[in-house]
Amino acid sequence: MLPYLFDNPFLLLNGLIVGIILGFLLQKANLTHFKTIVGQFLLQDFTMLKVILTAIFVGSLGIHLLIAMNLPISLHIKAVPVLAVVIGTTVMGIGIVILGYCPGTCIAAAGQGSKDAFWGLLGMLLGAAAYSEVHVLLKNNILSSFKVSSLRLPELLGISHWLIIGILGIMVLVMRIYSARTKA
Amino acid sequence: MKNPFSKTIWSPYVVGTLIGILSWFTFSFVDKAMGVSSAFVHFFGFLVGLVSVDHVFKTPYLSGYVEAKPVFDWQFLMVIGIFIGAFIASRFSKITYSEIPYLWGERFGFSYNKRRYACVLGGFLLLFGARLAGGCTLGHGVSGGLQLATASWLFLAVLFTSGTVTAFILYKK
Repeated sequence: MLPYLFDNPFLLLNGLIVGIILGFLLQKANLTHFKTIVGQFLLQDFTMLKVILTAIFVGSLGIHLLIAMNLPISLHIKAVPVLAVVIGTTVMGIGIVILGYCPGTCIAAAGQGSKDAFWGLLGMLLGAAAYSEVHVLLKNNILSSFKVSSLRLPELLGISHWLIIGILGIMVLVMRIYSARTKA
Repeated sequence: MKNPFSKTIWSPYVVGTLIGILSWFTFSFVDKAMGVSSAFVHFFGFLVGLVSVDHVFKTPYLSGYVEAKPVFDWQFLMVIGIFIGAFIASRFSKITYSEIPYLWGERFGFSYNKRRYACVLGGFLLLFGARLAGGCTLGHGVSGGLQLATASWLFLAVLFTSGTVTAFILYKK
């Protein structure tokens, strides 16, 4: 058995509560439904895009405001080589459409009782296992490939993050107006 | 007054907003970004550790996750929480879900075994791809996206492209 099993209880409790809220929200948005996820990729149901974009906009607005108020916020950014992101995400895209859930919504779908989600979880564990074992083989090729020069979009594009956040906000607004119009 | 909790499906904008607000709290109070894919690596590491701790320490990817860090960490508990939260939410809803989704069955046939194998395959591709890319939809897409990380926006672009192309190939008549 590994020696270091549990993180500090406060942190664990916090994680549990955050998860419960998140799982509740994902289920309430009906994202735990094959029809919704695949519907997104068939460009018929835009729930997934709406949730993701809104979450990114609101999250980004708040986080950057907190940073601007000089609160000690550290960013957790992944600097991943381009080839790894492209290949990995492409593979993910295939998986999401076959299974009908993304990792987070699959866990939530299992919680709501969807039996196929449990098989998905099994597959996910196997996938994590396989990757863990082959990672070392990829280290020197895919994972050492070209890395984008700038970690964040503002630096990459040479524009203020507020501009990007503003654009995101407009996109969400446009989507919202379009949704309201097409409901009539 | 109508109980919002009993409304079967909430607006995606409301849910997205609440998830975004949730991220403010995770970043400021516990210095964490929401994501689920690492938890699966942790769990695999734990399982291997039950048989051979030596193998864990010899596999750099695994040891990076569970050697100096706890196996059951914030994210792991978050994953458990997601399961519980979705369970609670589902009690308010009357929607039923078929193990073989109609769209899937129409394309591949309504065999339980086939669907199960496909789910395992799909899940496999999901996590293998996610770890290679550096995160899942939540970790890379949402958490990385809200931090305006370049790799995360690339992730979103490729995910929607790959998923859409695959969906059209598999399900479009």
